Parts: sequence; structure tokens; C-alpha cells
Amino acid sequence: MSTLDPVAVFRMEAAECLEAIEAGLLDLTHQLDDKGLVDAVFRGLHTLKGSGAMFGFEALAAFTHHCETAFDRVRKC
Amino acid sequence: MSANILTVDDSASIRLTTKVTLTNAGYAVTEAVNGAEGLATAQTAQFDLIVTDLNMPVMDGLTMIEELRKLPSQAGVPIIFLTTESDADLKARAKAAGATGWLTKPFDPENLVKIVKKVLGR
Repeated sequence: MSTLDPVAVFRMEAAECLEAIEAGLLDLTHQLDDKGLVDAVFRGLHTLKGSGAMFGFEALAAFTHHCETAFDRVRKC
Repeated sequence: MSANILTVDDSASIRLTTKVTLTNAGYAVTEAVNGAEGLATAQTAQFDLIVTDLNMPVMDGLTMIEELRKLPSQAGVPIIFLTTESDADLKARAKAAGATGWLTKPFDPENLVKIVKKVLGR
């Protein structure tokens, strides 16, 4: 699959986002008040939602939207 | 002469889609991965239009256009937001900061070209 295929690029991007989200969530269990970690997890979720919706992954976008909303609330506390 | 467009987005897939769409429409497209890089890149060449995301690491799109509008060379460059956000307050803040237009993701590539042509008049 060509790297110039936006969907292929999204799949790689999604894998990176999931890694960043997982790492961020694990770190947050020890550093609950780390705003940088909250922002990083939020951005990963935001990209999964926005780009997922762009390339037809509606279920992913809909589910991630709920997680993103929760993290948006946390980062605005 | 084809117009020079700067696209700023932290999502590689969205940058690629924007670049392919606008390149196929005859425009020259340069990429930046966040607001800070967009701010720096905007000053390296004369861009006719900037298409930017809002939520980005390092520097968000709103801060980027606030900083760009402080520069005399960038005061009149049209800037279109391409974002998942549709909140009215954010749109008002973007307009106050100097945004020219707003397109919500997911977007129809044809619609992006239509808006770019309208803004550039070519």
C-alpha cells in the first residue's frame, strides 16, 4: 500500500495515536495532575476522532468523541 | 501563476489529503506540523493563503494566527481554519483574531477547493 494513500497514512497515524494514548494513560495513573499528559492524551483522541471521521471510520470517531469530551473536561478543570 | 498555500495540521493524513486535493487543483502546497512551525514557515516565503487546524501541539492555530497578524508581512494573508470544532465562541474568537473562513472536518475535498478558489479569486 502506498504511503501516499491518505487512508494508509491514517492507519499508521492511528497506531501512533493509540501508543501515545496508552503511554499517557499509564503515566497519568502516577501523575494525575500532569496537565501535559492530559493534553497529550486529549490530542491523540482528537486526532483519532477527526481523522477517523474524515476517512470513513465513523464508529471509531463516535466512540473516541466520548473519550475526547471527558478529557476536554479534565483539561479545562 | 499558481497560488502558494501553506497547510498546517498535526495530522499527517489530513495534511496529505489537503495537499493532494489542492495540488490536484493546481496550487503549490507547503506543509507545517503545528502552529509554531506554521508561524516560522509562513515567514520563509510569500504565501497567498494559509489553511490551518485549530487543536495542535506546541502551538495551536488560534495562537498562530494571533502571532501572524502581528507581523506586517502577514497582516493581509487569508487564513482558513480546517477543524473538527464548530463551537460558535471559538469561531468568534478566530474571526476576531483575523481568520478569513472556517471549514469543519470531516470535509468534502471539492468543498475545500471551492472555498480556496473563492478566497483567492482564482
